[in-house]
Amino acid sequence: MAGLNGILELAKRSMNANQYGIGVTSHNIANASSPGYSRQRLDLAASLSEKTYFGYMGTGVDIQTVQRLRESYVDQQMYSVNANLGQSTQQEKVLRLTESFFQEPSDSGLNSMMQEFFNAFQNLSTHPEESSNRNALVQQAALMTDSFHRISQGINTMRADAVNELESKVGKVNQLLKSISELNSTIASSSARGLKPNDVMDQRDSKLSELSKLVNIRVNENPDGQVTASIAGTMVVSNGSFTEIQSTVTGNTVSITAGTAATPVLVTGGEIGGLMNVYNVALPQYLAKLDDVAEGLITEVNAVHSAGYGIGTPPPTGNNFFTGTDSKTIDIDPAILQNMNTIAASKDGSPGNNEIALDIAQLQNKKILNGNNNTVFQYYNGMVSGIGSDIESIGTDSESQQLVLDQLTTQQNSVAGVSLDEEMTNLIKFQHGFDASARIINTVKEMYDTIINMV
Amino acid sequence: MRITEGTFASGFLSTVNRSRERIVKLQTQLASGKLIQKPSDDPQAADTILRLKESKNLRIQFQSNALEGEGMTDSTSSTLGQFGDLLMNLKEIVVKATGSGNNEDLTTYGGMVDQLLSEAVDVANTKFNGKFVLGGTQTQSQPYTLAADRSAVSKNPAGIDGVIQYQVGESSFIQANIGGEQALNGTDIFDLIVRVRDSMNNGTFTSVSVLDDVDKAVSHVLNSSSQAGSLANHFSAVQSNLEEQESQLDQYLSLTQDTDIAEATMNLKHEETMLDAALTTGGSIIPKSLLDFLR
Repeated sequence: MAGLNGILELAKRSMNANQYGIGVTSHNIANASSPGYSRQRLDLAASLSEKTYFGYMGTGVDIQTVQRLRESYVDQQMYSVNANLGQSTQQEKVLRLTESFFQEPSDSGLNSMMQEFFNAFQNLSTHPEESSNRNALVQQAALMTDSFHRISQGINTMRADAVNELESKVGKVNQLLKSISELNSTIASSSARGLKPNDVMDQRDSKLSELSKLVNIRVNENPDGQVTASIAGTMVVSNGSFTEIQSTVTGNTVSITAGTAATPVLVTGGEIGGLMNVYNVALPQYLAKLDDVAEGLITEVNAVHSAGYGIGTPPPTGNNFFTGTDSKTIDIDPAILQNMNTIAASKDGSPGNNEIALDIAQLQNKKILNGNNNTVFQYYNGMVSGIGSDIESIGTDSESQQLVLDQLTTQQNSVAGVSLDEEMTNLIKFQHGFDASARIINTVKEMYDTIINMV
Repeated sequence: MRITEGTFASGFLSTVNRSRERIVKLQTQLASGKLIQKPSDDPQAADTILRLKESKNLRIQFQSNALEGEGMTDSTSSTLGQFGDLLMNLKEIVVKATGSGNNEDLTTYGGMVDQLLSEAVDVANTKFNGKFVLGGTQTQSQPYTLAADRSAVSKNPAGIDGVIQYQVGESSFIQANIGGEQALNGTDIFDLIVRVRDSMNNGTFTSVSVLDDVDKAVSHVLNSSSQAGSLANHFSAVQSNLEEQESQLDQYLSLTQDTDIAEATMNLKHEETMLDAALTTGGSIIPKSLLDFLR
């Protein structure tokens, strides 16, 4: 091998290798801030040595492969943290909006409205014969029913929006599944030819990461580089194919199914999981409690009111104050709106008697809700602070998930991230290697000259 | 651990971001003066605030009820006082009439008593704030009517005895009226006046037969008047009590919901310093790389 031709060949390969090295380094530098990019490394090794009389003789360098540096274990962790984080941020977003409908604790919240409503009955009790007090009462009651309507409508709109968003996210999932599946086959065909499609794999990992924000997935990598992905045990990406998912609203709940299977996929994470939770559990629960409050008010106020007398000859009696059954339908009885003297303040029909007005005002402190354990206010305040604590705990949860994600990103970065210092060092190393190899060729050339001149 | 530019950038960004989040929160607290904007800021405190506000609102309502009650009972008391004065006049007339044996004089006194009867009916029909104060719960109908021939005074057939109560505490109610039935013994006192007048006019008048009754009537009416007065006092005492409770609640409320300006300002300054430090170090470390030292 130590023949001049051999050395020339060796130097040529060395130049080649260093040139490739500079190529890989440039690629790294160019993609230093591309999201999802994994650092690549040129793996070089000494080529097989040659046996001579004097022992083994080196034959130069061989390019082994261009290696992608990435910690797939960290990726797996990130998928699950992404799912948790996606779920809690989505929930937080919706619940914060819901919270704002209640406008508590402020003077325009339902709490104040209900208080003013009862106060209006107190005022009526001091002057049951005054029509101005009746007028004020009707106005306060209207403000209160409006508040009920506004909140319940807000929650219902929130739910409708959640379903719309869910549908668009399902569409996004299907797109991602399709492109992951396509990238999978690209990877498989390259692998079959013995090539490592590093950048395609990066692309696919980015898509998987995006997917993991939307739903909770489990990913497995096959030896040929393809991945299979499943949502809660249902395979959605397998070798060479993928299964679309779709959302269906049945009755009051939304569910996700995959392909033609009838049994729903139990999505428990990701933004879709968050939206499902909000739609199926959280919002209906708040709405039910608000309905309880409205229903309690309607039933109790009506029961007292219908036993009393208004003003007139003969004094009207047996009238309800409210119509409706829940927060959406609660309204002032049309008879009262038509003639405010229908409002019953008197227990015996005499215009100065105020006992019914007082009795209705007492309902404020009567425990009528939650199995007669809470007053209207206790129940409502509990519900409002309940929403607050739900948001608080979800917020804390997403904060800690974010910290974990930051930690994982740092960990992945320490393997897959491009360090410019390192690349610069490599650049210098390869440049010098290239220079030195060229010098060898020059030396061999001079040696040839020497030999030729000898002749 | 291998540290790359990416590590630097993401670490730096999340630190600065968290710092800014805290600054925004403190700024909102300072700008609004409220520690709690929404229940999720502090659910427990939000619950307390709602409870305290409800309680405070009720106190304010009770105060306004008590004020109304004070007005009602005050006017009842003064109405009955006036009525008492009239009865005192009646007594004077009766005493004067006792001395005179002359029939002509007696008729004159009878005329005076008749005049007094009209006044008494007017006083008993006093209206305050749109209500007949002695009408019981029949506040819209005149409690006493003098017959056209002035022979008798009748009361509202629907009754003049209903009790009206105002609420001044979670479970405390104070009577806000005294009906004619109780204050003036129904029509008994008017009957007495009519009897005195008629006896003077038809010459059967003897002091012995009426003086005692008149005395009893005076003391009964004055009693009722002072009873109404003490109800008014009760209403007024309750008001100052409620005011005190309200200011207590205000204090608690402020402690729970208002920003401690000094503390928040301190914290804000602290956060600003931290942010400055993060930005300064970030600004000096991140741009550095090997590139700066090559050639």
